[in-house]
Amino acid sequence: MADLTQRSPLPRLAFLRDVRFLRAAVQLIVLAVVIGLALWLINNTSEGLARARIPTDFSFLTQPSGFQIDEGLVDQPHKRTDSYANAFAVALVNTLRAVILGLILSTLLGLFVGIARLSTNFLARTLALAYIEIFQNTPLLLQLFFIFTSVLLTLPRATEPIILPGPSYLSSSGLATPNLIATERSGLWLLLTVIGIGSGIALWRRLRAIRLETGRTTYAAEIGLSVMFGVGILAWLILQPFTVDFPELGRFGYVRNKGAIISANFVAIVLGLVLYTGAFIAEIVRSGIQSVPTGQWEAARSQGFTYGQILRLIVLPQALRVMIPPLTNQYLNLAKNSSLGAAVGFAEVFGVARTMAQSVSVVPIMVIVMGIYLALSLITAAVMNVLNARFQIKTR
Amino acid sequence: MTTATAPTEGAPASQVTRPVIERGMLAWLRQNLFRTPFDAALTIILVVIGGSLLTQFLEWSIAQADWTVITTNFRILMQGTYPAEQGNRLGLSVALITLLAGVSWGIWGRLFRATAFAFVGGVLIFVFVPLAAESLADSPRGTFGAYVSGQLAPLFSLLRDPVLLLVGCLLIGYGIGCFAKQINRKRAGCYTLIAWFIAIPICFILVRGFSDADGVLPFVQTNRWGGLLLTFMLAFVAIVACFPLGILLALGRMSGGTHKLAFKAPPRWWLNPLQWLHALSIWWRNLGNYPIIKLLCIIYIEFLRGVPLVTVFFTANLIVPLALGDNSIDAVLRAMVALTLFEAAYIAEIVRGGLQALPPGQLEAAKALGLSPMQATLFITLPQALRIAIPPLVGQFITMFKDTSLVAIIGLTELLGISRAVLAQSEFIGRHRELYVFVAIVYFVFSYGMSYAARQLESSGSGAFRKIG
Repeated sequence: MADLTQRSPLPRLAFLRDVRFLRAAVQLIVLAVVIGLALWLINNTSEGLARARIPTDFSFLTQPSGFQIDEGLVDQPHKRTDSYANAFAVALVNTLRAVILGLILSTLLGLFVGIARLSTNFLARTLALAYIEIFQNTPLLLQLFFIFTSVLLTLPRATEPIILPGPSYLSSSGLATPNLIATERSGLWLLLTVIGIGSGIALWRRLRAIRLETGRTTYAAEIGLSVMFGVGILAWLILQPFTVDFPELGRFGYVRNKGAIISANFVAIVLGLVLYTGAFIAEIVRSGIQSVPTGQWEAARSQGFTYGQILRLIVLPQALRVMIPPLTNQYLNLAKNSSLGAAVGFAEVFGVARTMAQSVSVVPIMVIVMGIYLALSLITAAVMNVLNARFQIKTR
Repeated sequence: MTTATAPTEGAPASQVTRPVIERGMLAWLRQNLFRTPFDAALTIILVVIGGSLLTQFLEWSIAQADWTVITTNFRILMQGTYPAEQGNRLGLSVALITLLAGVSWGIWGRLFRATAFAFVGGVLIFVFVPLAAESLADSPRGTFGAYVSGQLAPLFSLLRDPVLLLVGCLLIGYGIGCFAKQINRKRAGCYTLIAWFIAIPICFILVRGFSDADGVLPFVQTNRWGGLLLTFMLAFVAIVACFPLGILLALGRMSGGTHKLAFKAPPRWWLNPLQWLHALSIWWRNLGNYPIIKLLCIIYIEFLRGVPLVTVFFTANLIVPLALGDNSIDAVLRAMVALTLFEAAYIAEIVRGGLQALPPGQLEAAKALGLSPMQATLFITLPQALRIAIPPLVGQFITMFKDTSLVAIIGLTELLGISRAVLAQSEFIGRHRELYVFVAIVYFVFSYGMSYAARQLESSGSGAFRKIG
């Protein structure tokens, strides 16, 4: 017993050889180096800023910005006298507009081209391949410059635009389309439409359940869809909830506040993002479809499914499992690439920040900008992770 | 693809005829373009759309475009304001790299028929177009002949010598590589890798020069680098520098034990602060043996992957001189640092993917054999993980090459930036289409070349990567 309670003969050496101590020591050294480096850099920066008399606090946010932004959901969303914080908010709305529209359109384009890439039609296959290779192998910034300078700006001037049905006008200052103006009946119409869609979905599910239980034909999709949209359309016809505001041509182009005017800058950034990201999504869709075993196709074909039915009901749901993680990456890239809108004069977060940096200190501005993009990325990633978890095969 | 003929009526089962495969042009058309009525309609629509796009592009490029903007500014587009009398240094480094690329190709790649045809076709075009142009020199204005002699030929004769030189270097390298492979494949691969590691700094020094003004290699300021040269230098330095950093970050993020404690959450655990502490402690212990290092790596990677590259460039451009207290750091170096730090986060995630894809038995076997964690990582897991990660790594390198174009936003004159500068000159205003198409072709050639080479390497047998090193 006495032997066991004796202390080990070389306590100091054992202590140095203890792996827990070594791990802690290594980590503390690394932490000290990182913190020291960070402190040194921050200290240098603040000294340099102090020498140049550049303020680093966030008090500028409430001051008037002195520049104006024309791009936004409303006419002149940011005036010279509005605050910097307001400019950031307007820019964030613009970024979100471009990103959300870009996400939807690039997914549709990618899905379409990805399916075309596997078509039995030689021409569809080859054109899809050409599109993918061209847009994947050139930089997005170059595509944006080309779309903006060489395509959109070479359209006719706003005084003599291309007239599209609507009437809509397309010119180098953008696209002017008819706009819907809400009246007092709009709220009621919206309510009825939401109720219609909700009850349509409920009806669809109920009828499908009946069919699965009894085997009777219940026309679930047909009835459900017609209720979903029928109510809204009927209510529209009866209530006339909106008045239409047509665009007008003045002496200097489009008349302000008439119709919806989509600026060429917005068209350029959305088109660029959609074409670039669509090429990558198409490749993801293609490899996703190819990852579904051929036996699935053959079995479905032997059951008499048509090509469209096989894709929609059998292959794409299985392919989606493989597709979602790389798709998330592409969505994140799209959100981050929206910062290139600055290069085509679109007033999004980075572009507005660049304008601000001419008059205010760059440090707080970049902190805010990076925070915004980080939040945007994290939200996108979180939403896609939830989707991913829902689509994976449930195993025990 | 095949259409079977019905077995002859009444024939014995043993004499059923083999299915006859339809051959010939008509059969191909029927199979690939007019299989169903929908297919036929699709084909017709696509022919109309594709045909009109193609004819419009050809009509523009022949009748309207003025390609002299490229021939006039060719040197600027390629090397910026790099001193013309020092141009040989660039040529030498490009030749060295091409030679090594050829050797690597000879050792690890295979010569495909398509590649060979592309080479022969390229050489023929670059030799014969200028020759043909001479004979067409006096054709009337506005015709195809005038287009060839007036617009195409100057470009092609400008490109002829460099292209022939490059193809020559590549083929000589290929020959050397094939010869070396015959003698001793393993050793040849080893020497080539070492040669790459020596050649890259040599090229860098060749381009940059020593600091004395009138020595053998006079110093060239980085603000005189431009055009394709700057694009390549940015991409090259970033690729070489971000790779080790990315591996370190990946190892840091993967560090620690593999066993995971599960947090068994009792109902409504969030109401109990003690359960919060319990959850926190499990999270901390799941970070492994080096929780601080792991957390630092995760923060670094996730932060840089969450912000756009332009904001990093912009911040680095304005803050790095302040942070280092030194105004003499030039813009090119700042961009290189920013690009390296940014891309390292992406490389780290790719390498981590490779490490995670390894079967756990590899690490367990290494431990069972008594290898230390360091040895197991260096000799067992990391080499295999890198081999798995090669396809996504090449994809990331292509992205990096394209991403260099973003430095145009902070005012550097790489290929895209300098083409904007050219467009700002009064005599070339409105020639943006020609210039952008040219720049797009340059980017396309290199990006597509990289991805083609990677695919070739992948398809030349599963052992292709195993034999590296």
